[in-house]
Amino acid sequence: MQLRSWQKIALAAVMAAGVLATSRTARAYPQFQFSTGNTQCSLCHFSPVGGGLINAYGRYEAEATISRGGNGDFLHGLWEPPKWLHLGGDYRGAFLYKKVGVEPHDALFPMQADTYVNIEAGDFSFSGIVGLRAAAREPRPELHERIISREHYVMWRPKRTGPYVRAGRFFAPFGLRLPDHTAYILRYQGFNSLQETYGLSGGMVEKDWEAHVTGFGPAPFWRVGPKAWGGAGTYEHHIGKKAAVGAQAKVAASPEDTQYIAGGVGKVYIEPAKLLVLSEVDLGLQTFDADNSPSRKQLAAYLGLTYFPIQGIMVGTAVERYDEDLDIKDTERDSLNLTVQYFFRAHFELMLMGKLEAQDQDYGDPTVLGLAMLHYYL
Amino acid sequence: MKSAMRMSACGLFALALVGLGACGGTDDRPATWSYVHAAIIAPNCTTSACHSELSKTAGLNFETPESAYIFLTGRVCDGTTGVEPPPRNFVTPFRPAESKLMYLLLGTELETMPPDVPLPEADIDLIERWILEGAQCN
Repeated sequence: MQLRSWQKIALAAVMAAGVLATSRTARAYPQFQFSTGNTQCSLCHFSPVGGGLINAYGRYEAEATISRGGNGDFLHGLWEPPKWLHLGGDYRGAFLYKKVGVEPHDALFPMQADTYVNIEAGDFSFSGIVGLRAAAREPRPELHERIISREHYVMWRPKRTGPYVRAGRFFAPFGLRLPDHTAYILRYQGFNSLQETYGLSGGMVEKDWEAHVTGFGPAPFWRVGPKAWGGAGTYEHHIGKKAAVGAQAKVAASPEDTQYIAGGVGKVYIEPAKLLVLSEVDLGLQTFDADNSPSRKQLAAYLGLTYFPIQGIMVGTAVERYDEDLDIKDTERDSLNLTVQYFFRAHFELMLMGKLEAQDQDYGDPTVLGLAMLHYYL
Repeated sequence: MKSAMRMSACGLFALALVGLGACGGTDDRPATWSYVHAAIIAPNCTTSACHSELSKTAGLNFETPESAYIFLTGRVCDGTTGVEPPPRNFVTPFRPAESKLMYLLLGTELETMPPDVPLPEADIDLIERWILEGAQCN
Protein backbone atom coordinates (compact mmCIF):
# COMPACT_ATOMS: atom_id res chain seq x y z
CA MET A 1 0.00 0.00 0.00
CA GLN A 2 1.34 3.42 -1.04
CA LEU A 3 1.27 6.12 1.57
CA ARG A 4 -0.25 9.45 0.73
CA SER A 5 1.92 12.45 1.43
CA TRP A 6 -0.06 13.56 4.50
CA GLN A 7 0.17 10.02 5.86
CA LYS A 8 3.95 10.09 5.39
CA ILE A 9 4.09 13.41 7.24
CA ALA A 10 1.94 12.00 10.04
CA LEU A 11 4.18 8.94 10.29
CA ALA A 12 7.31 11.10 10.37
CA ALA A 13 5.78 13.36 13.02
CA VAL A 14 4.95 10.44 15.26
CA MET A 15 8.44 8.98 14.89
CA ALA A 16 10.01 12.38 15.60
CA ALA A 17 7.88 12.81 18.69
CA GLY A 18 9.18 9.46 19.82
CA VAL A 19 12.77 10.48 19.50
CA LEU A 20 12.29 13.80 21.24
CA ALA A 21 10.83 12.48 24.44
CA THR A 22 12.31 10.27 27.12
CA SER A 23 12.51 6.59 27.74
CA ARG A 24 10.82 4.88 30.66
CA THR A 25 9.63 1.39 31.36
CA ALA A 26 7.20 -0.19 28.94
CA ARG A 27 5.55 -2.96 30.86
CA ALA A 28 1.97 -3.89 30.16
CA TYR A 29 -1.02 -3.64 32.44
CA PRO A 30 -1.42 -6.93 34.32
CA GLN A 31 -4.96 -5.75 35.09
CA PHE A 32 -5.98 -7.03 31.65
CA GLN A 33 -4.77 -10.58 32.23
CA PHE A 34 -8.00 -11.96 33.70
CA SER A 35 -10.47 -9.12 33.38
CA THR A 36 -10.56 -9.39 29.57
CA GLY A 37 -11.12 -13.14 29.68
CA ASN A 38 -7.53 -13.91 28.73
CA THR A 39 -5.26 -15.84 31.05
CA GLN A 40 -1.89 -15.32 29.37
CA CYS A 41 -0.01 -12.04 28.88
CA SER A 42 1.63 -13.49 25.76
CA LEU A 43 -1.76 -13.78 24.06
CA CYS A 44 -1.62 -10.04 23.38
CA HIS A 45 2.13 -9.35 23.44
CA PHE A 46 5.03 -10.60 21.34
CA SER A 47 7.05 -11.10 24.51
CA PRO A 48 6.36 -14.47 26.16
CA VAL A 49 6.05 -12.69 29.52
CA GLY A 50 3.98 -9.71 28.37
CA GLY A 51 4.88 -6.06 28.07
CA GLY A 52 6.07 -4.00 25.14
CA LEU A 53 4.82 -4.47 21.61
CA ILE A 54 1.33 -5.88 21.21
CA ASN A 55 0.40 -8.34 18.48
CA ALA A 56 -2.62 -8.35 16.17
CA TYR A 57 -4.83 -10.00 18.78
CA GLY A 58 -3.71 -7.47 21.38
CA ARG A 59 -4.59 -4.65 19.03
CA TYR A 60 -8.01 -6.16 18.49
CA GLU A 61 -8.54 -6.55 22.25
CA ALA A 62 -7.47 -2.94 22.78
CA GLU A 63 -10.20 -1.65 20.52
CA ALA A 64 -12.91 -4.24 21.25
CA THR A 65 -12.74 -4.86 25.01
CA ILE A 66 -10.44 -2.28 26.57
CA SER A 67 -11.13 1.07 24.87
CA ARG A 68 -14.28 3.00 24.03
CA GLY A 69 -13.89 2.17 20.34
CA GLY A 70 -11.62 3.22 17.50
CA ASN A 71 -9.19 1.30 15.31
CA GLY A 72 -6.45 -0.44 17.28
CA ASP A 73 -4.33 -1.36 14.28
CA PHE A 74 -0.86 0.04 13.74
CA LEU A 75 -1.19 3.67 12.64
CA HIS A 76 -4.95 3.29 13.06
CA GLY A 77 -5.00 1.06 10.00
CA LEU A 78 -3.47 3.63 7.65
CA TRP A 79 -0.61 1.36 6.69
CA GLU A 80 -0.06 -2.33 7.23
CA PRO A 81 3.56 -3.49 7.52
CA PRO A 82 4.64 -6.73 5.83
CA LYS A 83 3.84 -9.94 7.72
CA TRP A 84 7.38 -10.37 9.06
CA LEU A 85 7.62 -6.84 10.46
CA HIS A 86 5.78 -5.50 13.49
CA LEU A 87 6.10 -1.93 14.68
CA GLY A 88 4.73 0.05 17.56
CA GLY A 89 5.54 2.42 20.32
CA ASP A 90 4.54 3.94 23.63
CA TYR A 91 4.57 7.71 24.11
CA ARG A 92 3.63 9.37 27.37
CA GLY A 93 3.56 12.95 28.51
CA ALA A 94 2.75 13.93 32.07
CA PHE A 95 2.14 16.76 34.48
CA LEU A 96 3.44 16.03 37.95
CA TYR A 97 2.87 17.73 41.26
CA LYS A 98 4.73 16.61 44.35
CA LYS A 99 5.36 17.78 47.84
CA VAL A 100 8.42 16.21 49.39
CA GLY A 101 9.89 18.17 52.26
CA VAL A 102 9.16 21.87 52.53
CA GLU A 103 8.65 23.04 48.94
CA PRO A 104 6.08 21.72 46.47
CA HIS A 105 7.23 21.15 42.90
CA ASP A 106 5.46 20.68 39.61
CA ALA A 107 6.66 19.72 36.17
CA LEU A 108 5.35 19.10 32.69
CA PHE A 109 7.58 16.55 31.01
CA PRO A 110 7.88 13.85 28.36
CA MET A 111 7.63 10.60 30.29
CA GLN A 112 8.22 7.92 27.72
CA ALA A 113 8.99 7.62 24.04
CA ASP A 114 9.77 4.07 23.06
CA THR A 115 9.57 2.81 19.52
CA TYR A 116 9.28 -0.96 19.10
CA VAL A 117 10.28 -3.30 16.33
CA ASN A 118 9.79 -7.03 16.00
CA ILE A 119 11.14 -8.97 13.04
CA GLU A 120 10.09 -12.57 12.52
CA ALA A 121 11.97 -15.21 10.56
CA GLY A 122 10.46 -18.66 10.99
CA ASP A 123 10.77 -19.79 14.59
CA PHE A 124 13.16 -16.95 15.35
CA SER A 125 12.52 -13.30 15.98
CA PHE A 126 14.32 -10.12 16.98
CA SER A 127 12.70 -7.58 19.27
CA GLY A 128 14.07 -4.17 20.07
CA ILE A 129 13.08 -0.95 21.79
CA VAL A 130 14.72 2.39 21.08
CA GLY A 131 14.05 5.55 23.06
CA LEU A 132 15.66 8.40 24.92
CA ARG A 133 16.63 8.19 28.56
CA ALA A 134 15.47 10.94 30.86
CA ALA A 135 17.67 13.96 31.59
CA ALA A 136 15.74 16.14 33.99
CA ARG A 137 18.63 18.07 35.54
CA GLU A 138 21.57 20.15 34.42
CA PRO A 139 24.03 19.53 32.97
CA ARG A 140 21.99 17.64 30.40
CA PRO A 141 23.82 15.28 28.06
CA GLU A 142 23.69 15.77 24.32
CA LEU A 143 20.65 14.35 22.56
CA HIS A 144 22.62 11.61 20.83
CA GLU A 145 24.06 10.51 24.19
CA ARG A 146 20.55 9.93 25.50
CA ILE A 147 19.52 7.41 22.88
CA ILE A 148 19.18 4.06 24.55
CA SER A 149 17.83 0.63 23.87
CA ARG A 150 16.31 -0.84 27.00
CA GLU A 151 15.42 -4.11 25.35
CA HIS A 152 16.89 -6.00 22.43
CA TYR A 153 16.87 -9.75 22.17
CA VAL A 154 16.78 -12.67 19.83
CA MET A 155 14.19 -15.33 20.58
CA TRP A 156 13.43 -18.86 19.46
CA ARG A 157 9.75 -19.67 19.90
CA PRO A 158 8.08 -22.15 17.56
CA LYS A 159 4.56 -21.43 18.84
CA ARG A 160 2.83 -18.91 21.06
CA THR A 161 2.49 -21.60 23.72
CA GLY A 162 5.17 -24.09 24.65
CA PRO A 163 8.89 -23.52 25.10
CA TYR A 164 10.95 -20.48 24.22
CA VAL A 165 14.52 -19.27 24.65
CA ARG A 166 15.72 -15.71 24.30
CA ALA A 167 19.05 -13.94 24.69
CA GLY A 168 19.77 -10.24 24.97
CA ARG A 169 18.66 -7.37 27.15
CA PHE A 170 15.37 -7.54 29.02
CA PHE A 171 14.01 -7.70 32.57
CA ALA A 172 14.14 -11.17 34.08
CA PRO A 173 10.48 -12.21 34.56
CA PHE A 174 9.69 -11.83 38.26
CA GLY A 175 6.42 -11.51 40.16
CA LEU A 176 3.84 -8.94 39.03
CA ARG A 177 5.12 -7.02 36.04
CA LEU A 178 3.52 -3.68 36.88
CA PRO A 179 3.79 -0.68 34.55
CA ASP A 180 4.69 1.70 37.40
CA HIS A 181 8.44 1.32 37.86
CA THR A 182 8.26 3.21 41.16
CA ALA A 183 6.22 0.43 42.79
CA TYR A 184 8.26 -0.83 45.73
CA ILE A 185 8.29 -4.42 44.49
CA LEU A 186 10.05 -3.13 41.36
CA ARG A 187 12.02 -0.11 42.48
CA TYR A 188 13.75 -1.74 45.44
CA GLN A 189 14.23 -5.19 43.96
CA GLY A 190 16.25 -4.39 40.87
CA PHE A 191 13.47 -3.66 38.39
CA ASN A 192 13.50 0.12 38.31
CA SER A 193 13.68 2.17 35.12
CA LEU A 194 16.68 1.28 32.93
CA GLN A 195 17.71 -1.64 35.14
CA GLU A 196 17.17 -4.25 32.46
CA THR A 197 19.97 -6.81 32.50
CA TYR A 198 21.64 -8.88 29.81
CA GLY A 199 20.84 -12.54 30.01
CA LEU A 200 19.70 -15.84 28.70
CA SER A 201 16.15 -16.84 29.53
CA GLY A 202 13.98 -19.82 28.81
CA GLY A 203 10.56 -20.98 29.77
CA MET A 204 7.26 -22.61 29.04
CA VAL A 205 3.91 -20.91 28.53
CA GLU A 206 0.99 -23.32 28.76
CA LYS A 207 -2.75 -22.92 29.07
CA ASP A 208 -2.82 -23.38 32.84
CA TRP A 209 0.68 -22.42 33.89
CA GLU A 210 3.86 -20.69 32.89
CA ALA A 211 7.43 -20.80 34.12
CA HIS A 212 10.46 -18.67 33.27
CA VAL A 213 14.11 -19.02 34.28
CA THR A 214 16.77 -16.40 33.59
CA GLY A 215 20.49 -16.06 34.10
CA PHE A 216 21.71 -12.47 33.89
CA GLY A 217 24.78 -10.30 34.13
CA PRO A 218 26.03 -6.77 33.49
CA ALA A 219 26.13 -5.16 30.07
CA PRO A 220 29.05 -6.59 28.08
CA PHE A 221 30.26 -3.38 26.45
CA TRP A 222 28.12 -0.52 27.64
CA ARG A 223 27.71 1.35 30.93
CA VAL A 224 24.01 0.61 31.20
CA GLY A 225 22.10 -1.37 33.78
CA PRO A 226 23.06 -3.09 37.01
CA LYS A 227 26.50 -4.59 37.59
CA ALA A 228 25.12 -7.71 39.26
CA TRP A 229 25.33 -11.30 38.14
CA GLY A 230 22.56 -13.67 39.08
CA GLY A 231 19.50 -15.64 38.23
CA ALA A 232 15.75 -15.45 38.63
CA GLY A 233 12.83 -17.79 38.26
CA THR A 234 9.09 -17.30 38.33
CA TYR A 235 6.18 -19.71 38.16
CA GLU A 236 2.47 -18.98 37.82
CA HIS A 237 -0.37 -21.46 38.04
CA HIS A 238 -3.84 -20.53 36.87
CA ILE A 239 -6.86 -21.54 38.92
CA GLY A 240 -9.62 -21.69 36.37
CA LYS A 241 -9.85 -18.64 34.12
CA LYS A 242 -10.10 -16.00 36.80
CA ALA A 243 -7.28 -16.55 39.28
CA ALA A 244 -3.66 -17.47 39.62
CA VAL A 245 -1.04 -18.05 42.26
CA GLY A 246 2.67 -17.97 41.71
CA ALA A 247 6.11 -17.93 43.24
CA GLN A 248 9.32 -16.19 42.33
CA ALA A 249 12.94 -16.09 43.45
CA LYS A 250 16.01 -14.12 42.51
CA VAL A 251 19.68 -13.95 43.44
CA ALA A 252 21.84 -11.00 42.41
CA ALA A 253 25.50 -10.64 43.36
CA SER A 254 27.25 -7.31 42.82
CA PRO A 255 30.81 -6.31 43.84
CA GLU A 256 29.42 -4.95 47.13
CA ASP A 257 26.57 -7.21 48.13
CA THR A 258 24.42 -10.21 47.36
CA GLN A 259 20.65 -10.05 47.46
CA TYR A 260 18.38 -13.08 47.78
CA ILE A 261 14.64 -12.57 47.21
CA ALA A 262 11.79 -15.06 47.32
CA GLY A 263 8.08 -14.47 47.31
CA GLY A 264 4.67 -15.17 45.95
CA VAL A 265 1.91 -13.57 43.92
CA GLY A 266 -1.85 -13.95 43.94
CA LYS A 267 -4.31 -12.71 41.33
CA VAL A 268 -8.07 -13.06 41.26
CA TYR A 269 -10.79 -11.45 39.17
CA ILE A 270 -14.14 -11.35 40.95
CA GLU A 271 -16.33 -11.08 37.90
CA PRO A 272 -19.70 -10.25 39.50
CA ALA A 273 -18.10 -7.30 41.24
CA LYS A 274 -15.86 -6.41 38.25
CA LEU A 275 -13.01 -6.31 40.73
CA LEU A 276 -9.47 -7.53 40.20
CA VAL A 277 -7.08 -8.23 43.08
CA LEU A 278 -3.33 -8.31 42.50
CA SER A 279 -0.89 -9.03 45.30
CA GLU A 280 2.78 -9.75 45.75
CA VAL A 281 4.91 -10.33 48.81
CA ASP A 282 8.68 -10.79 48.71
CA LEU A 283 11.14 -11.43 51.49
CA GLY A 284 14.76 -10.56 50.94
CA LEU A 285 18.13 -11.21 52.52
CA GLN A 286 20.98 -8.88 51.66
CA THR A 287 24.55 -9.73 52.64
CA PHE A 288 27.46 -7.34 52.32
CA ASP A 289 31.01 -8.09 51.30
CA ALA A 290 32.64 -5.55 53.63
CA ASP A 291 33.89 -6.77 57.00
CA ASN A 292 31.66 -6.23 60.03
CA SER A 293 28.65 -5.36 57.88
CA PRO A 294 25.63 -7.25 59.15
CA SER A 295 23.22 -8.81 56.70
CA ARG A 296 19.66 -7.51 56.64
CA LYS A 297 16.25 -9.00 56.05
CA GLN A 298 13.82 -7.11 53.84
CA LEU A 299 10.15 -7.03 52.93
CA ALA A 300 8.41 -5.73 49.81
CA ALA A 301 4.65 -6.05 49.50
CA TYR A 302 1.94 -4.86 47.14
CA LEU A 303 -1.84 -5.19 47.22
CA GLY A 304 -3.88 -3.63 44.44
CA LEU A 305 -7.59 -3.52 43.70
CA THR A 306 -8.92 -2.55 40.28
CA TYR A 307 -12.56 -1.88 39.50
CA PHE A 308 -13.90 -1.86 35.95
CA PRO A 309 -17.18 0.14 36.13
CA ILE A 310 -17.68 0.28 32.35
CA GLN A 311 -15.62 -0.60 29.31
CA GLY A 312 -12.81 1.89 28.92
CA ILE A 313 -12.46 2.89 32.54
CA MET A 314 -10.28 1.40 35.29
CA VAL A 315 -10.30 2.67 38.85
CA GLY A 316 -7.50 1.30 40.97
CA THR A 317 -6.09 1.61 44.44
CA ALA A 318 -2.99 0.03 45.89
CA VAL A 319 -1.15 -0.15 49.17
CA GLU A 320 2.53 -0.95 49.39
CA ARG A 321 5.16 -1.50 52.02
CA TYR A 322 8.90 -1.75 51.78
CA ASP A 323 11.11 -2.35 54.79
CA GLU A 324 14.78 -2.27 53.95
CA ASP A 325 15.87 -3.80 57.27
CA LEU A 326 13.39 -5.73 59.38
CA ASP A 327 15.82 -5.81 62.30
CA ILE A 328 16.03 -2.02 62.58
CA LYS A 329 13.27 0.25 63.78
CA ASP A 330 11.95 3.01 61.51
CA THR A 331 13.20 1.75 58.16
CA GLU A 332 9.83 1.03 56.58
CA ARG A 333 7.90 3.08 54.05
CA ASP A 334 4.27 2.76 53.01
CA SER A 335 2.30 4.09 50.10
CA LEU A 336 -1.32 4.45 49.16
CA ASN A 337 -2.36 5.39 45.66
CA LEU A 338 -5.56 5.94 43.74
CA THR A 339 -5.60 5.77 39.96
CA VAL A 340 -8.26 6.47 37.34
CA GLN A 341 -7.51 5.38 33.79
CA TYR A 342 -9.70 6.29 30.84
CA PHE A 343 -9.11 4.54 27.52
CA PHE A 344 -11.28 6.90 25.54
CA ARG A 345 -10.27 5.54 22.12
CA ALA A 346 -8.01 2.75 20.93
CA HIS A 347 -4.38 4.02 21.13
CA PHE A 348 -5.21 6.60 23.80
CA GLU A 349 -5.22 6.62 27.58
CA LEU A 350 -5.70 9.39 30.10
CA MET A 351 -4.52 8.61 33.62
CA LEU A 352 -4.92 10.53 36.86
CA MET A 353 -3.03 9.34 39.90
CA GLY A 354 -2.68 10.46 43.47
CA LYS A 355 -0.14 8.91 45.81
CA LEU A 356 0.70 9.32 49.48
CA GLU A 357 3.89 7.91 50.94
CA ALA A 358 4.90 7.80 54.57
CA GLN A 359 8.18 6.98 56.28
CA ASP A 360 8.59 5.23 59.61
CA GLN A 361 4.79 4.95 60.00
CA ASP A 362 4.56 8.74 60.25
CA TYR A 363 1.22 8.92 58.47
CA GLY A 364 0.51 12.49 59.60
CA ASP A 365 3.06 14.05 57.22
CA PRO A 366 3.06 12.06 54.00
CA THR A 367 4.80 12.78 50.74
CA VAL A 368 2.20 13.84 48.20
CA LEU A 369 2.32 13.12 44.49
CA GLY A 370 -0.24 13.90 41.81
CA LEU A 371 0.16 12.85 38.20
CA ALA A 372 -1.88 13.48 35.06
CA MET A 373 -0.65 11.49 32.09
CA LEU A 374 -1.64 11.20 28.45
CA HIS A 375 -0.52 7.98 26.80
CA TYR A 376 -0.54 7.17 23.11
CA TYR A 377 0.52 3.84 21.68
CA LEU A 378 1.36 3.49 18.05
CA MET B 1 -13.83 -21.86 45.69
CA LYS B 2 -14.24 -18.10 45.56
CA SER B 3 -13.25 -17.61 49.15
CA ALA B 4 -10.20 -19.76 48.56
CA MET B 5 -9.23 -17.58 45.63
CA ARG B 6 -9.60 -14.42 47.65
CA MET B 7 -7.48 -15.88 50.41
CA SER B 8 -4.79 -16.80 47.91
CA ALA B 9 -4.68 -13.21 46.71
CA CYS B 10 -4.68 -11.50 50.08
CA GLY B 11 -3.36 -14.00 52.58
CA LEU B 12 0.35 -13.68 51.88
CA PHE B 13 0.14 -9.92 51.89
CA ALA B 14 -1.67 -9.64 55.18
CA LEU B 15 0.56 -12.23 56.83
CA ALA B 16 3.70 -10.44 55.79
CA LEU B 17 2.55 -6.98 56.83
CA VAL B 18 1.18 -7.95 60.18
CA GLY B 19 3.71 -10.59 61.09
CA LEU B 20 6.92 -9.21 59.72
CA GLY B 21 6.52 -5.54 59.00
CA ALA B 22 6.13 -4.40 62.55
CA CYS B 23 9.33 -5.73 64.09
CA GLY B 24 12.63 -3.92 64.40
CA GLY B 25 15.20 -3.13 67.05
CA THR B 26 17.92 -0.63 67.82
CA ASP B 27 20.30 0.49 65.11
CA ASP B 28 23.75 -0.97 65.68
CA ARG B 29 24.78 -0.86 62.04
CA PRO B 30 28.35 0.27 61.36
CA ALA B 31 28.83 3.90 60.33
CA THR B 32 31.43 2.90 57.76
CA TRP B 33 31.55 4.11 54.19
CA SER B 34 31.52 0.59 52.75
CA TYR B 35 28.25 -0.14 54.57
CA VAL B 36 26.69 3.30 54.00
CA HIS B 37 27.34 3.08 50.28
CA ALA B 38 26.20 -0.51 49.81
CA ALA B 39 23.15 -0.31 52.08
CA ILE B 40 21.91 3.25 51.50
CA ILE B 41 23.57 5.14 48.64
CA ALA B 42 23.61 2.38 46.04
CA PRO B 43 20.00 1.16 46.32
CA ASN B 44 18.48 4.62 46.72
CA CYS B 45 20.61 6.89 44.53
CA THR B 46 22.31 4.91 41.77
CA THR B 47 19.46 3.41 39.81
CA SER B 48 20.16 3.89 36.15
CA ALA B 49 18.09 7.02 35.68
CA CYS B 50 19.74 8.94 38.55
CA HIS B 51 23.32 9.13 39.84
CA SER B 52 24.60 6.12 37.91
CA GLU B 53 27.69 5.98 35.78
CA LEU B 54 25.44 6.24 32.73
CA SER B 55 23.11 9.06 33.76
CA LYS B 56 25.29 11.12 36.13
CA THR B 57 22.33 13.31 36.98
CA ALA B 58 23.58 16.77 38.06
CA GLY B 59 27.05 15.52 37.11
CA LEU B 60 27.19 13.10 40.05
CA ASN B 61 28.21 9.46 39.74
CA PHE B 62 27.61 7.47 42.92
CA GLU B 63 27.79 4.04 41.31
CA THR B 64 30.92 2.73 43.01
CA PRO B 65 32.05 3.45 46.59
CA GLU B 66 35.17 5.10 45.21
CA SER B 67 33.39 7.46 42.80
CA ALA B 68 30.67 8.33 45.30
CA TYR B 69 33.28 9.13 47.95
CA ILE B 70 35.06 11.51 45.58
CA PHE B 71 31.88 13.32 44.57
CA LEU B 72 30.63 13.65 48.15
CA THR B 73 33.83 14.50 49.99
CA GLY B 74 36.17 15.81 47.27
CA ARG B 75 38.78 13.29 48.38
CA VAL B 76 39.88 9.95 47.13
CA CYS B 77 40.04 7.09 49.55
CA ASP B 78 43.79 7.40 50.16
CA GLY B 79 43.22 10.93 51.48
CA THR B 80 44.37 12.83 48.40
CA THR B 81 42.67 16.18 47.90
CA GLY B 82 42.18 18.44 44.92
CA VAL B 83 40.62 15.87 42.60
CA GLU B 84 38.23 16.76 39.79
CA PRO B 85 35.41 17.58 39.86
CA PRO B 86 35.82 19.93 42.81
CA PRO B 87 33.82 19.23 45.96
CA ARG B 88 30.53 21.05 46.40
CA ASN B 89 30.55 20.93 50.19
CA PHE B 90 28.31 17.91 50.20
CA VAL B 91 30.18 16.48 53.18
CA THR B 92 32.32 18.30 55.71
CA PRO B 93 33.96 15.66 57.95
CA PHE B 94 32.94 15.81 61.62
CA ARG B 95 30.39 18.57 60.85
CA PRO B 96 26.99 17.39 59.64
CA ALA B 97 25.56 20.89 60.21
CA GLU B 98 27.98 22.17 57.56
CA SER B 99 27.33 19.31 55.15
CA LYS B 100 24.97 20.05 52.27
CA LEU B 101 24.18 16.35 52.01
CA MET B 102 22.33 16.44 55.33
CA TYR B 103 20.11 19.30 54.19
CA LEU B 104 19.32 17.45 50.97
CA LEU B 105 18.42 14.28 52.84
CA LEU B 106 16.31 16.09 55.41
CA GLY B 107 14.60 18.28 52.81
CA THR B 108 15.02 21.39 54.92
CA GLU B 109 15.92 24.53 52.97
CA LEU B 110 16.88 22.47 49.90
CA GLU B 111 15.02 20.06 47.64
CA THR B 112 14.74 16.64 49.21
CA MET B 113 16.92 13.82 47.96
CA PRO B 114 15.88 11.28 46.82
CA PRO B 115 13.36 13.57 45.10
CA ASP B 116 10.36 11.23 45.20
CA VAL B 117 10.51 9.75 48.66
CA PRO B 118 12.90 10.62 51.51
CA LEU B 119 15.22 8.13 53.12
CA PRO B 120 14.09 6.50 56.36
CA GLU B 121 15.10 8.45 59.42
CA ALA B 122 17.35 5.61 60.57
CA ASP B 123 19.38 5.87 57.36
CA ILE B 124 19.76 9.64 57.66
CA ASP B 125 20.91 9.15 61.25
CA LEU B 126 23.48 6.60 60.12
CA ILE B 127 24.87 8.97 57.48
CA GLU B 128 25.04 11.74 60.07
CA ARG B 129 26.95 9.37 62.36
CA TRP B 130 29.37 8.58 59.50
CA ILE B 131 30.02 12.31 59.01
CA LEU B 132 30.41 12.89 62.76
CA GLU B 133 33.04 10.14 62.85
CA GLY B 134 35.07 11.88 60.16
CA ALA B 135 33.45 10.68 56.93
CA GLN B 136 36.25 8.20 56.43
CA CYS B 137 36.58 5.88 53.47
CA ASN B 138 36.54 2.82 55.68
